[in-house]
Amino acid sequence: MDRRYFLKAAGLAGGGLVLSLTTLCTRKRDGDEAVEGEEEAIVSEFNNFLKIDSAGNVVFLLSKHEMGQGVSTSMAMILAEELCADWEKVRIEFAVADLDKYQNNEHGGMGTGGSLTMLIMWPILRKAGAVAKGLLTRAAAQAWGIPFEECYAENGYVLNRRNSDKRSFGELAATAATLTPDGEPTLKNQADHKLIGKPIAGKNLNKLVTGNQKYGIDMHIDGMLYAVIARTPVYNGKVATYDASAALQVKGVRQVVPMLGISGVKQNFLYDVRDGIAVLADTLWAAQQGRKALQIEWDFSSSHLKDLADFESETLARMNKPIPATDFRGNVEAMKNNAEDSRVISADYVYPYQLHMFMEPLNCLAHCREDQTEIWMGTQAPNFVINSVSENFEIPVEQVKVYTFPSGGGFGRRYFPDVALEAVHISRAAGNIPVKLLWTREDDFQVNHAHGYTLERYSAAISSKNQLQSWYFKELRTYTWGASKPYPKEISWIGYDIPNIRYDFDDLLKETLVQCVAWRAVIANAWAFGQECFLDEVAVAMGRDPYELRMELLASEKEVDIGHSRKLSGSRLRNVIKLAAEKAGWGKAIVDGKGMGIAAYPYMHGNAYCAMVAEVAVSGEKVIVERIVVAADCGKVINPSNARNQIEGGIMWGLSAFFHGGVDIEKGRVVNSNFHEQRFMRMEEAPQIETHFIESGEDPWGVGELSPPVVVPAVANAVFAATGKRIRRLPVSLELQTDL
Amino acid sequence: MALFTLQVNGKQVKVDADPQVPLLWVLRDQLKLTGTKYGCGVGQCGACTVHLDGQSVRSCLQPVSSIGNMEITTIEGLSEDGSHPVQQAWIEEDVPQCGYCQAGQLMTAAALLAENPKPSDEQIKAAMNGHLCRCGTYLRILKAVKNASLKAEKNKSWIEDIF
Repeated sequence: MDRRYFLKAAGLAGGGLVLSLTTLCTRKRDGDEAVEGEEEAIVSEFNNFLKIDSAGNVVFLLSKHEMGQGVSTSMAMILAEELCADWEKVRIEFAVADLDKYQNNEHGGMGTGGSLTMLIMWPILRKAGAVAKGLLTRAAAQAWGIPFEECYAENGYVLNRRNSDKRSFGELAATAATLTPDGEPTLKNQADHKLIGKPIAGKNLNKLVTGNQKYGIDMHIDGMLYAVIARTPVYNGKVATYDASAALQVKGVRQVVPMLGISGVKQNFLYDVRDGIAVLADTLWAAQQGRKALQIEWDFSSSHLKDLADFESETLARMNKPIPATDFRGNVEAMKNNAEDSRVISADYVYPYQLHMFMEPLNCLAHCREDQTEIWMGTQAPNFVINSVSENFEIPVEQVKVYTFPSGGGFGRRYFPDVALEAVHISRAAGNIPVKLLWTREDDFQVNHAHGYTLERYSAAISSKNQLQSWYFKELRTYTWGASKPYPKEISWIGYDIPNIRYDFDDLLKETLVQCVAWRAVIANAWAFGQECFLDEVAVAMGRDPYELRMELLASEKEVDIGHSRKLSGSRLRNVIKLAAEKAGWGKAIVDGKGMGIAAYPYMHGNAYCAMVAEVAVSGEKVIVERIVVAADCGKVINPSNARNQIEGGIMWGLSAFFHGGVDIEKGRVVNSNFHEQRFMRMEEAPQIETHFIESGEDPWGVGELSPPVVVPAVANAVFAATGKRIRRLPVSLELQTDL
Repeated sequence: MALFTLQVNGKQVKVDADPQVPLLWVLRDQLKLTGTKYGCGVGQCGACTVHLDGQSVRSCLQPVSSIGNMEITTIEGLSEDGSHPVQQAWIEEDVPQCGYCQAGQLMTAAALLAENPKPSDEQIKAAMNGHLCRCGTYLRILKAVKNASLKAEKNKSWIEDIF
């Protein structure tokens, strides 16, 4: 039974709620430590983010998704800072998804992505904490019969300035929660921050290191069956006929359910539900054996039964056909009308399909019933799950309940509701029984959504005075955020001051061989790879140092309108480049076989900037990344320990794409099935990393997607410095050096 | 199906299972010891690592019928209260991000230190290289194993000094 069923709400005046619950009992469910000597506690709810019990335990209700990016601890820190809570008494609870409570501007929504959480939640949680602190302080002032101004909060207590009296938040909470907030609260000055800016270990670490953290995959309810789906091995394939008789003979197999009815859902090209046949069994093992025994004939008449190589050559042919400009600065036809004495260089770059490969495979437990559909899962967008389930199964949103869990990695893939749609469909088709659907690792590799394939063409015109005069970038990509056409005006996130810049974009949504979705740092990966490597090529063509050239192209420190809701800051970009170069010792003597490379790119959604200097050693065809020096400007760093962890992990992410990425496809089928056939970075490959943050008094911005795009071009440029060989497609191969 | 008696975290338990079922699923789905994770099912990622008589093994590759009387230790049984030096070091170094792979990482680190209390960096990397972490926490794992090694050494000398 879920803890929420224990809650007995009693409405009180002033919008606050006092709730009673059996703390000991409910905490044991999550593996939390029980409150010492406390079996019953009064829990007071201050707002949708905060409850305080009579023992002084501060419960932060997490509305966003925790997938390893550390927002649960960082968000709790922001709230606790303004509340003046005792950090030791702060606990994090996963809120039940609630459209009414959270899916509004005032509460920041539940969707988690785009490195936006800190940015969105900073003002909201500060206010929530400060308001509650005000109420607790007023409750104390009333109790002491002294003016509000003569009380102050500190470390879980309200103190009386007149004497040494103090009352704990636990003692004050029940009264405080009934008071009505008055006016806007005063927020702390940065100088008074006690938690923010300190490296603080994740709140859930005790659970994580003892195996007590529950993820969606760990959820179990009595009477549930396990399900796996035999999905079409080719994108857009369908089940023609099937025979389940052998599967139903497997011991433990209970039912076989076609996915027809929910398969084919492809909402605005954002995600896809593949057709297939689900097998339900008493155990996962039996379900897997049953799946193997299914006989299915597929219909691939709507599919592209192509090899990746065919797709690539067709994409290249399309690249050669002119299209109208998507956006431009300066003269749109500048590249055609160069002065005769200018030089033009061009190169194509490929950032291929990539798998997410997070450690907790997709899963969902669903129980569809007459009057309620319950879903247990780790999701980046419970709002999207609720709305999609409601829409596709014609269930009122009020009857869709999503219990949220942290996930073993999301990286954009868990933003999409397809796995919930599958699980709800199976639960319903099987007769309204609880069903736990698991994607095996083979499913994760072979029938999954992927990061978009991008082909990029760059040209640069260098004038007779050795100035970079024009820049042209054309991009063909299998992914867009929704399929609306014409696409909004946009120039890739280029901050350099070049007189003429043109950007041409077209999509490959109909041509793609797999469904594409968001993947950590999304389009910035391909954009940074091509732009920062091609700029390195331009620097060489101009006979310029690539660091000096970047500094010169940003010398005006302009704010640039790139079509994003935020302007790109030339000065912030310049500052990170300067810091990275300084810390790395750019220009120092390098021995043969080694090289240094530099790259920089912003992550505009998260409003953060990053530069890196990479040092590599190359022997034969083996590239070893020895050291990465990072400079990052992500505004105020809430939790430096987590921010560093994110930067480091993002570097491993980018390097995984660089060394091991891509998706091999033959006749429409993904070839590789598991980690023995496709790897990502392991410990022995991990470079030394030094991260330096720009000191900033600005608000906190996003850090989770900042480093993956930058590390790839930094390392590629370092490989060029070491070998004279350009890497223009991933994964790296020093054998393939001919132009595309 | 067949009945098996297993020694799990110091307790004797009986399970009715297909002899071919990997130990992983018996632990997770029948015994509800969900700290041991499924990651790949083919012994490549290490998320399912447990100890069999103190040796770290991939539970996704061990049919339940192969276990016999061997003592199984899962992450839940590594210590009673999270006080094992590797667990403490993991917290001090703030290692995990999503945390999903970390139980397996901890089990291998604990087995390594039990066998080799003062491993070199190269020995740590060799032992831990079979574990995948998609969040990329490798640098911190390396630090934490070294930290745990120092902790274990300190504890040991303290005990040796007194007794």
